[in-house]
Amino acid sequence: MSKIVLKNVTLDYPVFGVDDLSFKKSFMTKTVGGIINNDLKKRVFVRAIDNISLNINDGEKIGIYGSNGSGKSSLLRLIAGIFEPTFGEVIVEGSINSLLSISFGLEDHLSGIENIKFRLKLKNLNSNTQNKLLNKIVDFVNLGNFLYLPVKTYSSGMRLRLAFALAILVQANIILMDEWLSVGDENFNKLAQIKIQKLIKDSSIFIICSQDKQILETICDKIIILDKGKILYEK
Amino acid sequence: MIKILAESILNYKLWFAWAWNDILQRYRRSILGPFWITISSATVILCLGFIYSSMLNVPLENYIPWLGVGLILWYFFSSIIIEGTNLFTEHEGLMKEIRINYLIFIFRVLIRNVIILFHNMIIIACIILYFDIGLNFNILLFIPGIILCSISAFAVIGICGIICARYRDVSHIITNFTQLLFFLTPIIWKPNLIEGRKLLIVDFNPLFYFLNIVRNPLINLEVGLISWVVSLIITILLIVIFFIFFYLYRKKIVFWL
Repeated sequence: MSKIVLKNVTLDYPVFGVDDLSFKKSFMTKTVGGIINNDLKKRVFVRAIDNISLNINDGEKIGIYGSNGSGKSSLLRLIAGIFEPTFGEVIVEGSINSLLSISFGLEDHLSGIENIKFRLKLKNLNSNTQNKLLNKIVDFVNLGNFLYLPVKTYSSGMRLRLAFALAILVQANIILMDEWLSVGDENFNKLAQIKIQKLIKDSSIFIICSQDKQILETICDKIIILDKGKILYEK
Repeated sequence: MIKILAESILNYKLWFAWAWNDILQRYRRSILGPFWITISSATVILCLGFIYSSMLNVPLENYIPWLGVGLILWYFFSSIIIEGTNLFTEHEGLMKEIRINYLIFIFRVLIRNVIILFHNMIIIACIILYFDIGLNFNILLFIPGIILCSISAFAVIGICGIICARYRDVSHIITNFTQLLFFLTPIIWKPNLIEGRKLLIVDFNPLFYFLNIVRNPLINLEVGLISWVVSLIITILLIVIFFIFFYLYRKKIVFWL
């Protein structure tokens, strides 16, 4: 049984190299999401998530909708455990796979195959499972000999394929996706769409952020609208 | 904290493979590969050995073992400090994309430097054999010496990494200071060459004690209890400081990148 619970969660990003808030910055806060502020020591921070409480239970497919800077990605990173909340508590039960950006932390100087191997080692799986997954990923990305070249030589589409395969082919209970449904060229995109559909079906909890409400309404059974780090609406 | 440390240790296959791969990457497409490290170190030791032994008027057979082992250990210490300053910036991409135990990064940097140190051990073996340094069981004392140095190195990498992730100027300060530290540490000179108050630069130099516990057993010199005690105290202090820093700031590091 997977579960995600957020209790009065607030997330502040400290901003360095900015001494104080200027009029321009104050104006900027009106035009984009998030709240730029000072703390007691006059340090500048952006309040990305503002006192959110949330319960997500097994079987739920959640869509998070909001404008730029509304806190969608920050919320996913909190759930993924990449960020720790400034205040409040995040409780996650179940393994997580997150597809948060196209770079996916790939190391440019390593080859595709080395990136796959290191990522699988990171999962702490036994060597038998690692080998099986390695073969599965190699088949899926279909990059041929490019897999043996450094990732820095890849086109953006090839990088996407690799990152996507790494993110989805290792089984997890909770899947987090950040505006990432179109992958690589037409053929691979079709394959990826099938995989994504299967992923959504197989996962215990699925959360996706998007600015496309239509996609969210098709995939998800619950939509959360975020604005300036607060939940504006849930349906 | 213990859970985080245990989890990172259990992931030894990852950081060892990562460290080994880092070295292979550095020497990719070269014929001799990582042995370039050994060759370049040996060249420096020979050149400096001949020049400084005559400048300082010290017999070559006394000077080369002192310089050789000292310089090889210095490479280890200085790389640890300098690579520690880039610890988190080097792993920024990963830290922002997946949940990962940060201690794994420290092990990666530590182990790649230990591997380089062991490559250079070939030179030390050659020095011991060529200069016919009397071999006895005391030589084995270098093993606990290296272990103590590595534990300290773990803490130094972590402390430098945390401070330099927050304050970017510090990495430049540390890099410059490390260059100065080379001349302040008895590597190309021997402590008996200076006297009086100038000896304070030896007495208050922690690296001197760490050098002693590894270098002296290898070149058949007495280590002295004081070196072991000081090294042990510094190691404990560094580990305590590191874990306090890590406990206080580990949640914030990702925001500093």
